[in-house]
Amino acid sequence: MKNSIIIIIVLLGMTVPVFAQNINWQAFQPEQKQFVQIQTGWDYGLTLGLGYGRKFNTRMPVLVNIEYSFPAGERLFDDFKVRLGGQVEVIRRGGFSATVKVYSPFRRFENSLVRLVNFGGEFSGVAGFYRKHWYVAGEFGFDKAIATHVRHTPLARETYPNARDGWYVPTGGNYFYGLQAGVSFGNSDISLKAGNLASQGWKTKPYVPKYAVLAYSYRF
Amino acid sequence: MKLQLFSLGLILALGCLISACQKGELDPNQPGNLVPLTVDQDPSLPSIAVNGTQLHAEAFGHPDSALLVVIHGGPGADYRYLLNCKAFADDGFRVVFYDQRGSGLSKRHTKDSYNLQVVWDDLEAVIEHYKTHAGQKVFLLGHSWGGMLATAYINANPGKIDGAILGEPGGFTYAQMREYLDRSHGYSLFSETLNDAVYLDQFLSGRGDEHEILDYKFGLWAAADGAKDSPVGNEGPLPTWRAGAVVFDALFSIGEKDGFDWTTNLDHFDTTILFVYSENNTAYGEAHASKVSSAYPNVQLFRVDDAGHDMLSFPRGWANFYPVGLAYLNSLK
Repeated sequence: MKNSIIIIIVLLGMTVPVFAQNINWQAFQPEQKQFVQIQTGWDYGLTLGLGYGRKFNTRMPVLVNIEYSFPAGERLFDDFKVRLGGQVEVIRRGGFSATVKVYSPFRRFENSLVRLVNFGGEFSGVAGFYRKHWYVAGEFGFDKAIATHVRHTPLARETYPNARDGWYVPTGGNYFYGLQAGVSFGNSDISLKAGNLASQGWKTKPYVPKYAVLAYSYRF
Repeated sequence: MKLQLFSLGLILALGCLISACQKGELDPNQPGNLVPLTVDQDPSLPSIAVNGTQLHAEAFGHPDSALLVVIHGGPGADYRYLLNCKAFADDGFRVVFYDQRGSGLSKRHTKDSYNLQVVWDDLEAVIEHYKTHAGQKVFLLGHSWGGMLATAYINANPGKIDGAILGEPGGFTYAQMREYLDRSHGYSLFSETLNDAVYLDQFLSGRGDEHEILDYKFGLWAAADGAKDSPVGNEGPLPTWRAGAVVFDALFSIGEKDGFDWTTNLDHFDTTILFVYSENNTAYGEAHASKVSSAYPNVQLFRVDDAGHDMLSFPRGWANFYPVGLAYLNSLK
């Protein structure tokens, strides 16, 4: 737990909130400081997301953003994820660029047995080649489920009456790695990222160990 | 300036949250927190020590009566959902229940220790444990994966079993099982059930030996079979004790990698089997039941009306099944 706290604080100390989606830094015009985004794809389920971000003109370019996404289903608001954070471009050498991203996801899940509320920490790096109208890059990251509040339903208590409700720390984490690419035109960006998932320890993996997200962004 | 203020606020908020969490922090891998204790952790549970492991097991009825060994599904489920079968004890049978190795409340092992041979050896050891005399007849009642396990055992030991009731085994070859699984888990991409099952993966995960959190997550995942849009047609969620995630993963991986065919020697088993399937499991049906059961030379095929895949667990299915099951067993007793 202490290690998790230290990691989070150090990462936040870098003043970097999060953004899940891909950014082509070179497509931003000097007067463009904000963007909105809509995205869909497979992100632990068939999801739809909306986001808003703002670029800051610091020594190293920084983007701060918030994003809300939810999976498909009959009950649209019982499960969701809010990501708050950002990214900072730490290296730029000609067309090559490397970006560090830090996220603080807040997630909720509910089914007939349990309600889970989770605070996580997500750290990733993206590196690749960027031009004004396109880019291609690779990414690697880790999404830690730092603290999860578990509340069991009466139905779950029929199975195990002594199950304990409360904050469980930690409750796992998943690595993700893959490729991303995008094109930019006018004030718009279209990007796609896809890759694999593996659970911490690399011995187990999610039920669907893949992700693929398509996004459209509008800069202004 | 705005960025620094934003970051400071975020750090303070997170600090408060972590501090609040730490006050009542629970460990998901502490035995008993999320899932019940297993027999090696709780000596008060009924158990037997066989074949190098400790199995959660109990038996009902006169010890010298014909044995009816109940084999649960999964892999990784437990016998709680089959406790209706206790009724056979009142009708002259010695009914034996056991949670398979790594399942239910039986002892957990490492993933690399599980294989199909050890599962069959466990079944044989359970039979030998409860058998009181040489002439005692032995019947198997296997549901779903339990029906597959029973068939694998009969295929290897056709002379050791006096009859069997098989309830919707997925298949006796890998191809049959894959076909059934594709139908039984064919949820819409937009369904709540599918998205609940997979969305969970970002909240809970465990390393290979963290049985508590892995079993807990698997139990939540398996609840999908009780959903209204599940093709298997159950009336609701099944009563269970504790799922066995690691044994499920291990045996499923072996099946996927090596395949299997447990029909090669079934023509040597000429006793009639009772093969039951349910009216409401749209993924199974008469066609699949006929195809799977045809590996046996003599089959009594019976459809359990007004029930889904877990027809032995819910009242209507059980009421429709029991007289037929009892008549079958009595005919061979």
